[in-house]
Amino acid sequence: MRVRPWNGWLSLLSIGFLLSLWWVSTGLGWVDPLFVPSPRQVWAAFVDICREGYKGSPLAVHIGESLKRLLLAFLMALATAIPLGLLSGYSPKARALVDPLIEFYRPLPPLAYYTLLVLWLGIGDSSKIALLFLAAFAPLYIAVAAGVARIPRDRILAARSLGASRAKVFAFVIFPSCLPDIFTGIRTAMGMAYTTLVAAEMVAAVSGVGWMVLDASKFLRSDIIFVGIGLMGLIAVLLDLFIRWLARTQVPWNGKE
Amino acid sequence: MIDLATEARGKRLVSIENMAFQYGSGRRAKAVLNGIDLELRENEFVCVLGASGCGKTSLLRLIAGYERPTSGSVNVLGAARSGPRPEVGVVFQHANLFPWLTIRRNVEFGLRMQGAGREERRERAEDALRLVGLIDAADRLPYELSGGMKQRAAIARTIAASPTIILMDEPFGALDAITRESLQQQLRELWLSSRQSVLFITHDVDEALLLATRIVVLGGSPGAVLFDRPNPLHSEEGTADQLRRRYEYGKQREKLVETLKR
Repeated sequence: MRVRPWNGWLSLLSIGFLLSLWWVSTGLGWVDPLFVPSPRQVWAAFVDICREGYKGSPLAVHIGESLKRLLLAFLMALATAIPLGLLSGYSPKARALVDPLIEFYRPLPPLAYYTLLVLWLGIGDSSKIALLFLAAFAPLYIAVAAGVARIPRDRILAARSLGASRAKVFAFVIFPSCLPDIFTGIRTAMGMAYTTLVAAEMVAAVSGVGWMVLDASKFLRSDIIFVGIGLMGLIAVLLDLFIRWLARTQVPWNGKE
Repeated sequence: MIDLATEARGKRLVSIENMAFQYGSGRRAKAVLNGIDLELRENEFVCVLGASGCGKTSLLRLIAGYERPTSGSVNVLGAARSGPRPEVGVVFQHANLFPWLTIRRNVEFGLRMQGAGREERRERAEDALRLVGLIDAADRLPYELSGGMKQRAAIARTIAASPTIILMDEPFGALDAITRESLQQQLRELWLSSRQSVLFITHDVDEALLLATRIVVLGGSPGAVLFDRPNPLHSEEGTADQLRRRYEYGKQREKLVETLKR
């Protein structure tokens, strides 16, 4: 067993440095509090938002709205990208059908086609969910298709020699073989969808954490902007930790074959 | 004249006639095997011996139904041109277990694919695991096992599906010398008690002399059968170690090595 020294204190050091720089620079008046609020102001704004909510809705509703959009879009992406990715990894014909479409829209900035989605679906939730779905779909699909292509051929042949039909090979060998890649895809897709979510709420929305930040900027409430950005970052880290925990418990064999 | 020796032998399970095999086609084709004639009969343990690159793995893959001959015929259990099937079990050079399944579930895999019930699966898998001495590791995942244990698990997985023929592709080739000798002895005991029909690919002369009832030497490029005879040292008694110490061992070994070098 390899002993790895714990380097966490270095991370704590850099975070501590940034926080104290913030605290000192605002405390000594090096920066205009209109643009960089002091830690105390930000904390006060956070407590206020927790108690009173922001613009008529409690904070939980803003976060909940954002997460609801993210989750719905993500479930849709899981339900479509995984089977399609498996299929196109397995069959070159299916790949030839699907790949060009995905390769075309994947590099586009999501906000470019978001304008179209808003035109078609309105500024409500459906256009946002569609946008997030598209953002999550491509990375997931690509990871799964690449995962299928990487399966050792002998593994499939071994299953065939043990009496597995082609359909059973798909369900009992190809799908589980790709689980590590599926989890990698989920992590990338979650990252893509999340950044897109915040951007989408900044363009057209009346609720959500992203909207809160944009709205606060119109009133020069930089303390609320700080709170919003902090929350977004925290939620992203928690989501990523959750996915990594899921991967660790679900595919313990990953990387140890 | 009636060949008494052949009459006494078991049923013909595999017969290969004037078979050639090449990779690719046209100008980039590479001939791998040429003019191969070979049989495997019931209760035989045939070792196919050859240096690397002589096409012995291709031969196994042709019998397993993973590849098709370019010309000639490969007839397995009375059928030509059938794909992989459960009657023909395969043990690979690398254990090739399913990494997400416990050893028990790996061994049950074939039975599950063939629709056996839960009870039957469990029972037969445990029998196979006991046979290879892995019953205590049944609920571990493959990555937690040593190379030798993995290979034993792979053998158990193939045995549990109760194939008519087992094809083994240098199953001990990637193991260290000590593990290899111990597994050779175990396989020998296993075979003496079951008389399973086996075609075993190896580049190890000792392995062939210890295990085989018949030795086939493959050589040349494209590969051809250089030698096909009963193993003169084949014996029902004694351990592998005792066999190695027999007087004729060195002489027979030398003879085989000579053939291989041709």
